[in-house]
Amino acid sequence: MARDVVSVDNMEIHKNRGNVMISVNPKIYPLDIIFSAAYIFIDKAYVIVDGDPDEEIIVLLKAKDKKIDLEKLGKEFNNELINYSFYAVQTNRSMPIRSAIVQRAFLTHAEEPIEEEPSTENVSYIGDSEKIAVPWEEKYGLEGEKIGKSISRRKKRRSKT
Amino acid sequence: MEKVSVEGKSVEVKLNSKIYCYDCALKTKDAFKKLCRVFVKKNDDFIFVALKPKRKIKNTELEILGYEFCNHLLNTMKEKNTGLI
Repeated sequence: MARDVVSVDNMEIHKNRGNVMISVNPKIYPLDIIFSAAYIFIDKAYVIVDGDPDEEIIVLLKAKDKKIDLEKLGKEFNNELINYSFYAVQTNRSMPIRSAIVQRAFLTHAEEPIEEEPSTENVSYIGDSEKIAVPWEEKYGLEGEKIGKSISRRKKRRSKT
Repeated sequence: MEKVSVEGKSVEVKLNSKIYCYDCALKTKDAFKKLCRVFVKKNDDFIFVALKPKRKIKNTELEILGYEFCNHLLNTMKEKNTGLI
């Protein structure tokens, strides 16, 4: 191995090229977690992901600034992998609670079912002690009709004046 | 072979097709269309991307252009995995 290539843990640092190659086990860290962790570094480095998704994934970080410590960059990447793995585990764990909260929120603002109006066909007047619901004609007979007519005449006169 | 290599007036990027999605590469291509001519093709193992700038630029800038395409593609892949696109 050349002098400018240093191997540390799961990393291979190529100082002359200004990049660090990180080996990741896809059985421990799935590809979507690797992409999420790599995304954090796109302002500091150029990222290329390579390898076999079933066996070994190689992440190449090429520093944008030559002053960046490559070993530190690689170690930060390893930390981000753990960070995103933990986030994924927590997300899966809290999934039922989150879905329950969202379901509850939707149910709260759902339209209330319209209550059907009671039918007026078989309405009895039981309990109507004052006989308010009984029609005028039934209540007072022919006399009632006369009184009713005189009342309506009075109303007409008042409306004219 | 390097993943990003300068070939004359263009830069070629060779990506693993088991890792990167071809549709994402095509979507990323749209972002670079104003700046350069982009050619994307694939076979079973690799996705090949050739970027040829419309104006003359230095070789070092050409290499950076290739790497920027990789970063942009990574962003597209992440969006795809998180269900944003």
